[in-house]
Amino acid sequence: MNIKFILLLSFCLLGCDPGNKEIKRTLSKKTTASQDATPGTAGPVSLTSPAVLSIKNCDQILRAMEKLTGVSRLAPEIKAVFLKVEGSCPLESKPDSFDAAQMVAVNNLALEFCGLYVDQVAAKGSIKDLDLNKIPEQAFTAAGLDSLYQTFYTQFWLGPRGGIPPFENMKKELDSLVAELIRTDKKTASATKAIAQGLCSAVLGAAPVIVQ
Amino acid sequence: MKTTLAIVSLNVGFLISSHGFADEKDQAYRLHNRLTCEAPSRDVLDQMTDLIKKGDSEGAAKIAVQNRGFLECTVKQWCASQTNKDQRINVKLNDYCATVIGGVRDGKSFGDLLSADIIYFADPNKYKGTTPLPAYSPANNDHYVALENSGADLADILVERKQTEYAQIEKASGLLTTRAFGEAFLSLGTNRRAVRHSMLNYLCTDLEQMMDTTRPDTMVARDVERDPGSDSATYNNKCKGCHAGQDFFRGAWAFYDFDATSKRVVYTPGQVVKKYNINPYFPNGWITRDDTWANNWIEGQNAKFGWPQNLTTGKGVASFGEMLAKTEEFNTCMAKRAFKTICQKEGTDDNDKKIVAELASDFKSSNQNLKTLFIKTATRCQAGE
Repeated sequence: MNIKFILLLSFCLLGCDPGNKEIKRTLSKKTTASQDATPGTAGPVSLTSPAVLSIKNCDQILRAMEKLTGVSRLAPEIKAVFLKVEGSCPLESKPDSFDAAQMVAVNNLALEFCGLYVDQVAAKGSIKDLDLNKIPEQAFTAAGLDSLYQTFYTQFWLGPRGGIPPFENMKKELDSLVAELIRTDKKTASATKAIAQGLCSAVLGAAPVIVQ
Repeated sequence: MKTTLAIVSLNVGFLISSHGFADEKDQAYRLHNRLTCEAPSRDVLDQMTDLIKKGDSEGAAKIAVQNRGFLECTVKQWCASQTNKDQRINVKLNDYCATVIGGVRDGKSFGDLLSADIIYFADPNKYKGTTPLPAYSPANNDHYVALENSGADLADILVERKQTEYAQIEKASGLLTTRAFGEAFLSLGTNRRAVRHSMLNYLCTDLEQMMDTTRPDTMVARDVERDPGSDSATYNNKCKGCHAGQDFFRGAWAFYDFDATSKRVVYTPGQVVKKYNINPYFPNGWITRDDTWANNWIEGQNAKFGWPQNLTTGKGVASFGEMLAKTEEFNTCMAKRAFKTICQKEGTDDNDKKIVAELASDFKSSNQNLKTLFIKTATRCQAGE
């Protein structure tokens, strides 16, 4: 995995995803609708065509993450990370100009929000079938992981809804990530929280949250 | 590092796979995001989704704007670019934006904010923050920065006051005499920057686009060389095109300056600030003696802006602001800005231009109510499929 690969994937954002077929179909319908519109009456603008999608800017991302995690953006830990990444986080970028530095900035913010979020969740034990105070092998049972993913999917992405990947796709991606992290991280309770934090940030820093 | 890279790559994977087909719930989600910078709560999402399914997207947008993110993020970012030379949106809260936010909350005409004796700041009695809130001061921005950092609910805490009472200036013209405006556009220079950014901010047009060399240059000041580089053609074919409008307008701020020492806007009634009449490269040029301004672009190519015919000249900033707000292009500019914010488009294709024109008309007939404009704009960004 190297930075070029990440950038390549980023540049592919609008051009090489299977979902683009849907976009093209949408645009094609929109064009037809516009052409059919009564003269003098402007047709609606699609909120979801790639031409009108953009990456949220710093303030918007902070607010979004605050709302979704319940962690205050004014918390000293968040402020400290924000001050570090402020210079490289997105301003008004179109998805195709979203670069690696912006991606890392967003990810750092997500990691910090998720660190505090996971601490809260661990303390409350608020996720069904998941005890984040156990070692990874004991904590991340199939039921526990499913419960964690469902929490992320419904709380962070407000799924299911159109415009975001189905739950199963997210689960598949996170399963492969968690397998990797369990294999490489230490077998302690703090490693469990770190893995949960990583999973959380992958979901929180993803397009359904940062693209508008 | 390995973990971070894995996570980043996963994020990219999610980015790539996220463009699915939108349903009403997704539309409601996006609508809320764009109006408030935030995701809706589950309940709000359900309410908005139901309304969109019933074809009542305006009702859905009205629910969204009740979220404090509308004023504190969307409106703040909308006005932030109007308060600095580079048109950046990532700036701290200031008196200009607080006044816009308060005005939007109170349903005031945005046009009136360009001429009224008005300013908004926090009511200290409502402040519940743990760190002290500095009192409002026309000499620094500390009050607003602390207010924003405190996370206080601006919709609750901002109060309307007379700018003349608190900013230590005898004549105030709303946004155009705020500290933020003054620091950005009246500091140093010749106050021409204030004119240029007034055109950019309120007519969405830069001076170069307004250049018209056919207009008379009677009010072009002495500091503008008539033969730069010993070539009068340069002046006649280029410089004059902008100065013949700009210099006629800049008289409005003749008694205003941003003082570098006291760090505040100063108003010297009856006394033209020194920078207006310095550098007499062309001694027969216009000498500013008071705060008279005139619209020299009422005719010529710039007549297309739809200037008010009954307000072609005046004295001071308030009448200048009033003139801007009564210009037809002002409505279009506000509609364009809202359209860009909510629909994320420049509004340049034919269909978008029609939408912007309709929004401008709605904005005008709503007494230039910005909240209504945002709501109406949001309803025009519905999925077209």
